[in-house]
Formats: sequence, structure tokens, C-alpha cells
Amino acid sequence: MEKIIEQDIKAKLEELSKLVAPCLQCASCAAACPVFQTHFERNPRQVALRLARGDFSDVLADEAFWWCGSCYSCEAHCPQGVPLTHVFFELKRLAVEASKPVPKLIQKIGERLSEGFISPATPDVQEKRKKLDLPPVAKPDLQEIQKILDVSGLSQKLKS
Amino acid sequence: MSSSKSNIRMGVFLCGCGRNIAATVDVDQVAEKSKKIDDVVYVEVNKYTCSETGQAALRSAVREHKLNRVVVASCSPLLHLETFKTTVEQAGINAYLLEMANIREHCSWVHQQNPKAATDKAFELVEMAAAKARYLVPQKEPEVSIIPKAMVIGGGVAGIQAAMDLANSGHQVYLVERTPTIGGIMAVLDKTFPTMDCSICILGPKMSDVQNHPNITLMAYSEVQEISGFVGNFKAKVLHKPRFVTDACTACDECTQVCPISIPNEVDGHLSWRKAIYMPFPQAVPSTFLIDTNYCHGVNPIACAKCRDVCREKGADCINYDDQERMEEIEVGTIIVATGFKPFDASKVPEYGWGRYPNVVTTLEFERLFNASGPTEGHLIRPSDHKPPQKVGFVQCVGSRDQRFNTYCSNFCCLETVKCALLIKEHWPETEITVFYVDIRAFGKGFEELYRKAREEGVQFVRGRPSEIQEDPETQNLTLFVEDTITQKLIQPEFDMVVLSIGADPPDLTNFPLPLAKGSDGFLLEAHPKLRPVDTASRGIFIAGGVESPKDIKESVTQASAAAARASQLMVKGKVTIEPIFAEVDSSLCTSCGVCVTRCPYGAISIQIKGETPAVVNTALCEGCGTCAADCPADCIQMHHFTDFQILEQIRAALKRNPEEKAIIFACSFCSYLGADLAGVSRMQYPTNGRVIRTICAGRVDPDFVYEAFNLGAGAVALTGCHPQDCHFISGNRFAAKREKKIRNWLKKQNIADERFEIEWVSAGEGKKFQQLMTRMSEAAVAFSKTKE
Repeated sequence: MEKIIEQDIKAKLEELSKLVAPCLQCASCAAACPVFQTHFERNPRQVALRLARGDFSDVLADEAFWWCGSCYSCEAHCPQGVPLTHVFFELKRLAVEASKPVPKLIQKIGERLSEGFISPATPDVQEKRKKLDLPPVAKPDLQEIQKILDVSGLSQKLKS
Repeated sequence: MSSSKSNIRMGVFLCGCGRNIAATVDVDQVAEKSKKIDDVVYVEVNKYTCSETGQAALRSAVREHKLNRVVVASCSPLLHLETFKTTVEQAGINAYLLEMANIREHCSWVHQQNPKAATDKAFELVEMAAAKARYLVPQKEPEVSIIPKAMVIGGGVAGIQAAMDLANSGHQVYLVERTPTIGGIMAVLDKTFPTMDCSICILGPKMSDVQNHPNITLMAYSEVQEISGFVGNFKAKVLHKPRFVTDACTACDECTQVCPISIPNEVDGHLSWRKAIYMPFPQAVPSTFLIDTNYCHGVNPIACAKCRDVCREKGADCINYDDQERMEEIEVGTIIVATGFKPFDASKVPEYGWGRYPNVVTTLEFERLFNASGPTEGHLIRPSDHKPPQKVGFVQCVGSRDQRFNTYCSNFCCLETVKCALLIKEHWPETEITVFYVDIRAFGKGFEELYRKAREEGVQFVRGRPSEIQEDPETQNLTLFVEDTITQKLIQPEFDMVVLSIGADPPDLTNFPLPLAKGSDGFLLEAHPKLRPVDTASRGIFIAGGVESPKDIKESVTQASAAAARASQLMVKGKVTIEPIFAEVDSSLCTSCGVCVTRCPYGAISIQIKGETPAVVNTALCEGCGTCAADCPADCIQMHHFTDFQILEQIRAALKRNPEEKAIIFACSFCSYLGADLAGVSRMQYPTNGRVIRTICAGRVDPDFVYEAFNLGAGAVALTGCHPQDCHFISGNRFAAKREKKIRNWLKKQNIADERFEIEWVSAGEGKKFQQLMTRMSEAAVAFSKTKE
């Protein structure tokens, strides 16, 4: 069973490798990435490079892609049309599937899900919303969220 | 071998093309099977049929076995038909008794994974060729005289070179330039790489040579509106736009002093001003002024007339407000198209801020800021505050190698930047210069040396493409966001000025009066990328310079000389043979309905009294597209060498076995057949059940061909041709497309599913599209064959 999963993951990584194959390593993605701006070790270009070279050994253990905030700046700036944000989503899925360790912060976010918010509505945020004439952040329906987490299998994954 | 009583003696010559065909197709097996084809009396396998050994073997086989039909199964006829026509003529039989089966581009190269099916298909392609060959008749190629004059369209450095070469070989040349002066992009550059020659100093004398050459008629500020005719005998209508200033103008410049209208000067990249009466730049040729009607106070002495008054005061009278546009008709034997590329429009990359930030300029604008006759008389300043920049950044690949804009590398921008950087260093060595690049391509003679020199002079090269340029609104300095991929760190350097190294956009040929094939990148396609790089698919028409691909000055000049030599080669002979592919009317069957007359774009077919006298073809005007033959209700028009019967025989041969699995694809000789060949050359794999039948034009495809294919049980049929605006025969594919409704109605009545028939336009550059079409049609056929089971 484990072997099947492993093969499956390798096949999926190979698909991702094909998606990044046109990459010229021009680094437009890195230059546009807000995460890379503050943490040079979290470099979207390096993730693409590793995938393109077929170096899958520790690609899923790498923490970099977990920090992707899905702003799509890399995709928008890529001259070769590489769907890099999509690639990061897939890597996250595969890492969970392969039971790779999830960075602490992400775990924290998982814990927060039980409160219904990924980032809590601090008084500061509420104040800003008031100024912008926006309604206060509504209280989420925890039951509904729990159901989504259960059905999608995420709560199970987070537990393991 | 056949024992039929016919007097046809056919020879089949199968080429292995080294391993190109033989690695996939079992040529010996095809040979064995071919021996059983009716009328085939001789079969031979060659390693290379096109080699001298192969051709000699073909010639001796024709003589020895008294062959009177020849089938060569090898590469595309568009590559070697002419070669083998000569071979069979040398062997003593008419060149039109030869037919080719394309078992390389349409078979071995596109079915590499499926040798068995490819071998079967190769044999069937031979059968199809044999089926047509059986009914071929000898044709005589008529000779026509060539007008020993050439027209060169475009007066950039390529056009100038081509015109000079032709004129110096003794030919009369018309050089037609759209803008008020010749010179093109080279005329606005400051220096040229890699020698750092002054651009206008080396081009200027050539420009005046053009004006003074007795064999050259310069038509500046003129546009070709219409071209008709054929090799050796083209007619062109040229529109001369009014300059409102006569040739007597001595360029004394008094008029611009009094002209009240100032507008941004396009030659200087809008960084300076010019007047409504102006000369584009001091070295312009013709060196006369002109009035820009878009801005002049109405070109009317009542409105202003300041320029006319001062001109008269100076004792001249060169301003003519009554000047009008004038159409001139010229006749030429050959045409060279050298209309150039368009510089990339940097405003398409909003993240670099060109057009919003004054200190972001393109390389072309930089050339003017550096040029002695530019807006600053050669003193480099930045546009926002006119101060000399201390720190200059260059950004490479702007608009090039980018899926959002142009996917190709524009060729000249790397060295353009190296040159500009060195020019700054030469005059202001303390200036800090950084070049941001993805790859530096310094491939030409002397290029790498210049690149090294720039490094030695202290120009910094940082590998990384900036994602964005931001302007400080106060200082109007510019900050770049870029990862230095060598150190793997984000850097945010600040510059006084940033130069975008722009590439080339394809030429805008929307209203161009010639139907020339374009590649998927928008540049004109050569007849063969290696061996006929300046020819086009149309005989007598050649291409040179930036209209073919982005290129630098040296390459443009080289190509221009090549194109001139090719054109000259045709003209010195005085005569040229043309293909005898004409329409012929069987007057005993003609009902004088007049449909054919409406189909002919050349006026080659006429009826004296409609309803009474039969149609008559003027073979000198007929181009052989066959649109008349396809739409003739009485089927009384025959196209020589592409007769209805010959094509129907090809269809029947193709559908002899398992017709329901087969897809018949009609392809025109000028676009879609070339697209099919490109798919082959690019090794784009597709299923093996398609069979391509070549016609001259999509207009030749008679609905009867489609009906016959379906009546014989074909799985799918497709009609392909050039894109509508590119039809080599002006309107052939338009009429072909008009048949769709009729064909679809017929399909409906026959209960044939719609997806089994398609009309698709495939240009010569769209190999991928052809591959997709073949896959789609094959799938439709296979799906249909399953319903039959």
C-alpha cells in the first residue's frame, strides 16, 4: 500500500515537473514573491528548479512552498506561463498525502480552524473596517466549517 | 508484376532517406507489395533517391524498362518535386508523368511509434500516387518573357541594399517606401555593433547613392496598393502621397522657422519637437521637406501660408498646396519584400512603467538621446530633469522570450545593450551601469569580444529578470525588484534611468497587397528554412530583412544581397517557364451559365454572350487554382494535372481498404500542405489513418470529391487551406468555405454526422494545428468505424 502511494506521488511529481519544464530560471517569480522578499530561503524559483531537474528526493520535505500565500504574483509575472501557484497547491496536497511534516505555523493555522478564522479579526482589523464603512466581521458557523473539514478529510489529516 | 493489357509501364522508386524513412517504414515490404499494383513493371529501393547515385539509377531504370510513368515515394513534393522532374526529363520522359508519394513528412516522421501501421500507410500512399500517375498526361511548360525590372518594397537598410545590388547588376528598380524618407530603423541609430561604426555615417552615403542611381526610381512616401500578375509579369499600383513641397526644395529650413505648429517628433521617440512642415532628419532621402496634413492648419493659404510666403521671399516657390495623391501603375518581373519588423511596444509591459515613468526609456529612445542629431545633440540626460544620469540600469528580453508577448528571441537586443553600455562608459566612465539579463546571446562575429569589453569596462551583469520597476515620485528615481540568481538574494537597486532593451514585434501586414504565408510568430515564411531562405512560396517574390525574422543590420544586408541575387538570376534569363496547370473548358458540355466567370479572381475566364457562347480560358492569365472547375455545375472544366478524375482515383485508392477508419484531408499547396510538412519536420506525432490529397488551392475541392469519399464509406473528410486573408489565389478558399452549407445539407440527407466533416484553415507555420486536426479527424473516423461494428 505504501509503495502504491509512493509511486502515485512520484507520478504526480513528474506531472508537475513537466509543468515547470519551460522555466528559464529568469527569477521573475522570486522578484515578485512577497514571501521571498523577507526570507531568501523560501525561493519559488528554487522549487521550480528542483522539480524541473527531477530532483524529487526532498522536494516535499522542503518548507518553502508551504509559505505560499496564493497571491499569484509569480504566475502573473512568469514570461513562460508556468502555473507556479498551482504547482505549490499541488505540492502541499502531495506533502500531506505523503505524510510529510507540516511546518509549525501551518499546524497553528489548523488549530485555529476550530475557531472558524485563519487569521483572527483583531480589534485593529475591526477598527479599520469601521473606517472603511464595512460591516464587522461576522461570526462563522463553526458547525458548518467542521462539516467541511470532515467531508474534505482535512480534519483527519490534521489529526494524523 | 501486373499482367494487364494497358500500355502503361510504371516504375516505383522507394527512398529510405538514410534512416529518416527506413527507421520507421519497412521500405522493402512496401516494395514487395508495390510490385502487385496494376501497371507497375519495376520497383526499386534506394538509400537516397535524390542522391546522384539514386537519380542515375532512376534514369537507367526508365530507359532499360521503358517506363512511361514514375512514382517516387520519398519526402515532400514541395522539397524535391523539381529535382525529380529534371531527373525524369533527363531520362527522356515528360516531367508531368511523375507523381510523388510523401512517405516522410506525412508518414515516417509522424508515426515513429507505430512502424507497422506506418508501413501499411506508406504502401497505401504509393497506391494513391500510382492511381493518379496512371492517368497523368504529358504537359508542356509554356515559356513567358520576364520584365527585366524589379520592385523593392521597403526602404530600410535591407531594401536599400537589395535595390542597389539589383541596380548595379543592370536591372531597373522601383524602390517603394511608405514613410517620407528611406533609411528605416538604421537611420535613427547612433552607433552599430560590434564595430561601433556611426550608423548614419555608413548608411547616409548609401541612401544618397539610391537617389542618384540611374537605374533606381525612388518612390518615397508611397504605398503599394495592389499587385496582380505572376512571375516575370507583375503589375503593381503605387499610391504616391502628396508632400505639398516640390522637388525644387533645397532644404534651406526657412519654412520650419515660421511654421506655427509644433508636434512631438516620432523620429526622436517623441522626445523632441518638430514642425508641421518638416524633414524627418537631416540626412533624409529624398532631401525635401513635406507638410504633415494631420497637423498643418488645413494645408490652405487662407488658413496660414506662412511657409509658402517665406519660401517665396527666399526666391523659391516650392510649397504647392494643390498637391494631390497620385496612383501610378508599374510593371515588374520580380518583387522583393523588405518591409522590416516593428519595434516592440513597451507599454504592453505595464510593470516596467514605460510611458508613465519619464526616466524609463527604450533602447531606440536611448539611441536618440545619444545621437548628435537627436533632441539633446548627443548629451546623455534623463528626461525628467535633464540631468546626466549617474546610475543606469538595462533590462533585457522586454517583450521577447515571453509567452504573453513574443515567444521568440529577438536576436539583436543583447548586443544592442552591450553597445549602449559601452557608449556611456566611453563618454562618462564614472557612470554605474547594471544589466539585468536572463541569458546573454553574443553569437555573432565579434559579439563575444564586445561583451567581454563591457565587463572589462566595469559594466555589471546581474542574472535575473526584474518583476517590477517602481518610481520614487519625488526624485523620479527608479527601483527595480530582482533576484540576483547567482547569489540567490532579492536586490532592490535604485537607478536614475532605466533602459528597456526592446525586441521586435512582427510586421503589420494586414493590408499588404500580397498573399504571403506567415509563420505562427507573424513573420513571413521562407520557401525552405535552410535551402531557400529568401524565396517565398510564390515564384518571383523574395523576402529580406526584418520582415522574415528579427535581425541585425549585417544579417539584413546579407539577406538583401541574397534576395537581389535570386531575383537577378530570374531576370537575366529573360524568359521563365511556368507550370502548365490551367483550366480547360469542354465547350461541348458548357451551358454558358457564367458561374466560372464569377469565381475567377484573375479575369482569366470569360463568356462572350451569356447563355449562348461557351466559356473561354485565357491561359496566360489563368493561375490554376481550380475554383472555377470545382464550382462548375456542368463539370465541364478540367484542371490540367489535377483533373477531377485523377483526384477521384486518389480518393478511391485511399479508401480501398477499411474506408470507415480513414480520414481524407484535402490540402492546398501553399499553406495547409506546408503546415502538414511542418508537422512532419517537427516530428509531431498523430494517428496513422489520415490520407492527405494535395490540390493547388482549397478552391479546387469540388463537393463531388467529398461526396465520393463519403459514398465510398470514408470515416471523415476535411477540407483545408490558407487562412482566408492569406489565400494565394485571392479568393479560392473563400469560395471553398461557401460550399460548406451545401456539403452539410448533403451530409444531413445522407445521415452523416456533422463531426465527420470539417473545414479548417492551417497556415504553413501551423504544424501543431495540423497535428490537432489530424488527431481530431482520425478520432472521428475511428468513432464512426466503431458504430459500424
